Amino acid sequence: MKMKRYSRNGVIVLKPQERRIDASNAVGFKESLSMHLGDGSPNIVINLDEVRFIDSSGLGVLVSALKEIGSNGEIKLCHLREGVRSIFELTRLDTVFDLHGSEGGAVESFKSKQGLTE
Amino acid sequence: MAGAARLMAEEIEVCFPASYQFLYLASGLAREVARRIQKQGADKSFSSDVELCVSEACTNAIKHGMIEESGAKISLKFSIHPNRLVIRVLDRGKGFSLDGIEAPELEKLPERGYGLFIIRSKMDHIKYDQRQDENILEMTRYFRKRPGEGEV
Repeated sequence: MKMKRYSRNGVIVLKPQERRIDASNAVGFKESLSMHLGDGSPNIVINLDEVRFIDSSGLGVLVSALKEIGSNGEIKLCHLREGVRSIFELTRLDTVFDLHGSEGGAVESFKSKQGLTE
Repeated sequence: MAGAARLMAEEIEVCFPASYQFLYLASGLAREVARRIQKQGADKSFSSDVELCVSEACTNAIKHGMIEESGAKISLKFSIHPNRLVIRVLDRGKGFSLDGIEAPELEKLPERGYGLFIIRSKMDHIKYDQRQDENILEMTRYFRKRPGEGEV
């Protein structure tokens, strides 16, 4: 799956370039995420701004990524469109993932957390 | 495109190869059918809910039948009644038992098993029939109460 990757204030931002994430591209999504999670970056923001639709196959990949990064880092999500946010709420994954309205807010929240622990 | 009144009198049926590559087609059609109903007063989430459930149902039909790339087909039928949309997903795979699939334990963060949970949550009624050589998942979602009717 095509995914933009860039750094913002020391945080890695991943931005899937797909309008839909379903069973047809979930494997590619998982491979792309695993590749970026494996490069040693502890703090990741996944920007879902391009994603208009996600189903349970896509959710499964995000849960898998969360488990993969474990205590070695943190994944935050941002720019969830209404339909995407709705499925997170239904499956209660909105209480598991740290969701943010903006990419800047998600990036800044890492900084705030680091500040608290310093 | 057909006007809303004409659409309300129609049944729409499509058949597509049992491959995940065609999910966009199935759920895209579902979204468009549901959008036209939504314009007549269905609640705000109606079209996105229908799109999602059709994607989940077709994924299940392909996955549980293990029929991808075998030349098999999936049939998808929308029946628009005055107060409800009935969607039937038909496949000729191995099928599954609706009763045999338990709700996911959400607190344990499963990576699978959300599909039927989502369908059950978003639809008003679901039914699964296994006949001689076909499986039919029927999903019903009401968008309007009948006159004098209470909860649907």
